Amino acid sequence: MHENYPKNRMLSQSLIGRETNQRWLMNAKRADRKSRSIIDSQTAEIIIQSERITQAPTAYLYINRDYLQSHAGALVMDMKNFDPYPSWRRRCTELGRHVAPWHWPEWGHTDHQWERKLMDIATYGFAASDAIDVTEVNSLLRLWWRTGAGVLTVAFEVPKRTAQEVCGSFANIAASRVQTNSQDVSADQLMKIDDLDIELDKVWDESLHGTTWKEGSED
Amino acid sequence: MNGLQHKVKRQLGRHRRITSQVELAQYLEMSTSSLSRLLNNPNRQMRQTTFDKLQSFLGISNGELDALLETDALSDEELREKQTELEERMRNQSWMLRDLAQRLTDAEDIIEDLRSVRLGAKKDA
Repeated sequence: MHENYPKNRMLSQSLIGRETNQRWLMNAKRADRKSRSIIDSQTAEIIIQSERITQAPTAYLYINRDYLQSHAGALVMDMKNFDPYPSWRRRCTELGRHVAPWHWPEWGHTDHQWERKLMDIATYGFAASDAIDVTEVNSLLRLWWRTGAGVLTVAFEVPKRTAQEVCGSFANIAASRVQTNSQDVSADQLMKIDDLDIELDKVWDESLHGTTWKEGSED
Repeated sequence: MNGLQHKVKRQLGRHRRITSQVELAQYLEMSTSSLSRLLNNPNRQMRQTTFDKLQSFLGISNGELDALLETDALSDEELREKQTELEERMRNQSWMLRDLAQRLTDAEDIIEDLRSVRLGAKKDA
């Protein structure tokens, strides 16, 4: 800057710069509020569509802000992100099971395809699993929907046959996405999955203040 | 000079009735020294009635005055940090919105597929 540049003009320019920044900040905040409200309503729409798919009421929701996060080789689950519906709470009490399925003995034991599911979520943006049984006739059907860096899980208790049908349709649509080559693949996410080394019987439950729950351990 | 001082100074040159800080102080029902302190202090606190009157005098929205007061309290560096944080958040939101729109299409396709599978099963039966 020229040393004879008028001081009051410099001051005025810096103020204009600051005012522009302030205006930008104000507009950005407005856009942020609007985006959040659209995200909320579209998330609700996804839940409604999931119920249309399964023809059953939602059991619980799990919102994972970063689904590729792991801790010491364990999948990170947190009660803070878990939203069980009252009917699911009642059902779990009835069955004598913990309300969070990652505390069930079947968790990790039967869900051998977890890495494959992560791949599907990253590649197609959606995946379904009926690997965990609730009773002899019902499955815990989990539908995963990728939303940016996060994943919304919508879970249902449905008859095993319904669960198989739904998983079949998820696979059909995934296959059609490959055929039409229209999938939204995130290379970063796929690379992250390759680097992941999650032991399936381990869950890092953040809400338990850093204790790692393992299969067969007490809650 | 902070943002509010700048805005007030500019508005005093434009306003029909209030053209000096003394008149503004009268309008805000405070002494001129209190108004000076209010304008000079970037970490200012004010009553709701003062906020409303100031907003009306400046002819800006609630949100604009809020943002002005908030950003006045920030240093240039904090302001830049805030911008970076918001830019990052907006990038993520844009990604989420694109993904959500695609997921709704996916869900429709899945429902359609299920319908045809169930119809096929009925026909077979």
